[in-house]
Amino acid sequence: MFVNETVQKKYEQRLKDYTDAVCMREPEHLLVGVNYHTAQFAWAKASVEKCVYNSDYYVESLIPFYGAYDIDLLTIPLINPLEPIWILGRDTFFVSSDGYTVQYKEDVPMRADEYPALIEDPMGFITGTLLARKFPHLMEGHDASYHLLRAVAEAFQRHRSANAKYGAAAKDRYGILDYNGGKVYIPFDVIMDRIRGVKNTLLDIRRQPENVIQACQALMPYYLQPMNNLSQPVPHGFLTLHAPMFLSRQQFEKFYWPGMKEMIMYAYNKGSLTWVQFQGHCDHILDYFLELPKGSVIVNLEKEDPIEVKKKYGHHIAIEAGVPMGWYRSRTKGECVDLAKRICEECAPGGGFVFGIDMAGLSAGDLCEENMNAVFQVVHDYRK
Amino acid sequence: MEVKFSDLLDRLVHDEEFLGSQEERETFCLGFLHMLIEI
Repeated sequence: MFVNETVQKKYEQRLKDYTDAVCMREPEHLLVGVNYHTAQFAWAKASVEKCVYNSDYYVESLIPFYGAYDIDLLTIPLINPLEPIWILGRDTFFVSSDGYTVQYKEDVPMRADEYPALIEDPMGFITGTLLARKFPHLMEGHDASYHLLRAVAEAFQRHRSANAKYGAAAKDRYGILDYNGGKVYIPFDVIMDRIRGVKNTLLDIRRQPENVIQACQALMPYYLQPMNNLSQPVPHGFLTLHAPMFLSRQQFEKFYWPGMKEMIMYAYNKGSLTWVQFQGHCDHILDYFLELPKGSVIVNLEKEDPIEVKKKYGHHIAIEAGVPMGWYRSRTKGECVDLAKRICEECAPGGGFVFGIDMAGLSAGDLCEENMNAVFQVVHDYRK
Repeated sequence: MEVKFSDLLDRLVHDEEFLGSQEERETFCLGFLHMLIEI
């Protein structure tokens, strides 16, 4: 429940403006979206461990962030389920030496010769072989293993509840919009990120390309299913591109694009959209988006020049971009504000534009409050 | 006796102390498996 009518009206206006923007219409106001992620822990000087174990502490420590940074869209600090990881004795996600930034360490549980087993029965292979390999503590005896699994499951539920509570508080107290309707995870990225690793996957596409293609196809139904609750433009699907920056154009077309197109079209045919976060250089694949229906994606740019992308593709895709994180950290306020004005003037007309950023925040150095709020003011004043 | 993960998961999904409703069972299972693949 909103704390007052003013906050409720703010939320409703943000929802309208964001929906207009991502549906390729000119909104009444330009909106600002920046993912601060674990930088928010640094801002709050909040203990990550305490946030994991106490959702009230998590909410009360982190929500005031929206009173300090004038952003419109939700940013989530506790993205990763740390408690299940700790219960299982894993270190794939860990808190860095600064006490706030959560990093990921690659894990490679599958061997190169196991693609046929993955293809034949993906969930049977994953549950019967990979999970047993990853979590030996779950294989020590049925009752003991069951109690451990149940503890992990309860921790998983707590993690989901904590983020639901956080999102609700951001909405009710500050009118912040949560636009994320669910993860869109391309099977090729699942293989590269979680099963074979970067180096092995890049070898696999050369040594056993048909197996990689078939493995992606075999995994697809299990990654389409979570998208079934998408039904409207907002909230929409949330896709981060991991592999494309490692792939040539031909490799992207052969191994990645078929699955990516299938999932984006799945969301579109359900009446929704897909937010696509570029990671690394992805300009070599931008023209593929012209194969999709107009307005089916919102592309969050990283290395690409938003003004050039708007000129070439802005008639077909919505763009989220802004002053780069590096500028906020190293340039003057005046330089950041001038760039923000130029980006707004070139990218906002015609709609299909949300003011964003190239990279998520991770640590205290990414907070840059003075420069960022000066820029956000410029964006919010645009068109007033 | 060998522990099978599928047996553990089956027991978890039917544990009414943990998942009280059919809706909870349906929304829990795949999300939980995806999480275990990702960590």
